[in-house]
Amino acid sequence: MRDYVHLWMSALFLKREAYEYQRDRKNSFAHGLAFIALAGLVVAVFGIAGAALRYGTEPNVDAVKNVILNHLQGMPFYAQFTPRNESEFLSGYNRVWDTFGSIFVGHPTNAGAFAGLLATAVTTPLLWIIGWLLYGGLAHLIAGRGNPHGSIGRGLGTIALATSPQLLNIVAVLPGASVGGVLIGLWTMILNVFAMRTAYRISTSRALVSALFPLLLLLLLLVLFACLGAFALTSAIQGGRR
Amino acid sequence: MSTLSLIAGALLLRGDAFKILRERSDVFARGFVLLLAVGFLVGVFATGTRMLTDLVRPQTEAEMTQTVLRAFENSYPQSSEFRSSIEPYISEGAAMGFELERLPPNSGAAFRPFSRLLHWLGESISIPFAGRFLGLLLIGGLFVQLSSRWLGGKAGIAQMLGLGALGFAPSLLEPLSNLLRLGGSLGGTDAFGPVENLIGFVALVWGVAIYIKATAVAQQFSYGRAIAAIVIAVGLVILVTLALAAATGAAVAAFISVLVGTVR
Repeated sequence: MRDYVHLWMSALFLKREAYEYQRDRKNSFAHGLAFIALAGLVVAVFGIAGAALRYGTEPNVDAVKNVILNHLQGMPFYAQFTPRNESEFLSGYNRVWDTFGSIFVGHPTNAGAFAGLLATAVTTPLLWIIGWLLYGGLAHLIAGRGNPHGSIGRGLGTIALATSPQLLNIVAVLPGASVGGVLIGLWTMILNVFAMRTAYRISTSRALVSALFPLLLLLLLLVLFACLGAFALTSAIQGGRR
Repeated sequence: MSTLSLIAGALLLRGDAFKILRERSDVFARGFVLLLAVGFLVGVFATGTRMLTDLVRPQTEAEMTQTVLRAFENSYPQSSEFRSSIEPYISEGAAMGFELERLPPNSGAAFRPFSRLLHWLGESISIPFAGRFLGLLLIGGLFVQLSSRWLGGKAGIAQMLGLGALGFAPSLLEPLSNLLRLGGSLGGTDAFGPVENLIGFVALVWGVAIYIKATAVAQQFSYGRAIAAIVIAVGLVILVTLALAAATGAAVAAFISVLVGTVR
């Protein structure tokens, strides 16, 4: 465990030796997999503990819901509601609260959300591993092409260390604490370039292109899906008109 | 070199402190610890003085509503007609905030102080991880590293980030502003406002001076070249921001026009 903490700290603060050690160790891929699984588990456990702490320190969810509703009802727009409008508004309000209430208060508010929270102990490491394999595999297409040092196992094993900034999310165990997701993403990207450069022994510019390639591909896919979605929506609207 | 002596070295712009840090293998870790310590202290005072003010001189619902209304009027001076239509919403919103803040925690009203303590710690520890500390360090460090490379800089990214963190040392002046604000709130006076602004200005100039020295030492530059690297980096950040905003705007506009055009 102490070795993992040391590796995490060294990787987080861009110590070259950590990345070289991870690249050159026997079974680099397996160690990378264990690193990500452990990091994901730690973040999930802290997330569960954080939700428990927030439950203890935040007000009762029904009390919050009622206070908000009372004051919404005191606003001028509410006075103009017809009885039908009012009943639609109330059912919408209850629906929104049932769906998103746990997000507002930061802890589960129903059995489904509670089960979802407990499941993060499994889903977080699993999702991180899937993301790591996809990201590392796509980055390998650029970094490993025509590269005599380009072993995908060593590449993935080293890139695993770049997830280190995600562990800073454990700070959010305290109520009211948060760590900027964009900043964690930026830090992770810096580590990805560093890891890629060390793992594949390539130039910084090639490492940068390799690190950005999976993200650009994802962006392209998102744009493509958005266009397809817009096309499907407009076709449906036109079909409905006919 | 302890964090305290590092802070002192940075504040006094002592060249040897910068150079010793540059040569350490844990340069980024040291810089991050400094950022964490300074940011946490700033957070403890900022959050603590606000909580203390609430505790010593709690606002009534009417006072709180008046404060929010006054802040809104100062920020968005509008016609009296618009103001009268929006006022009931702001008053009701402020009253909602007042009531929500006073609801007891799930663990019971007796645990309210413990809950407040945890929130104080949580909000304080978030400050070093916010955009104005960690965000500025990472984005600034990244772009200055890029521009420095073009100008022949020799630092690695860890050295740039580690030494760049020294520029946050003057933020230690911020608690002084908080204490003045606390004194002003408790005494019911705004007389300390100009002094607070002056402290903020001094901390900013001091921080910029340290950052220039940090860039010069990390990249083994002259001060002129370090300033040029920072100016180019600021220009790059503005350009990238504008380009991203334009690209997002164009994408949204194209999406809407396709949608509207097809529906017609």
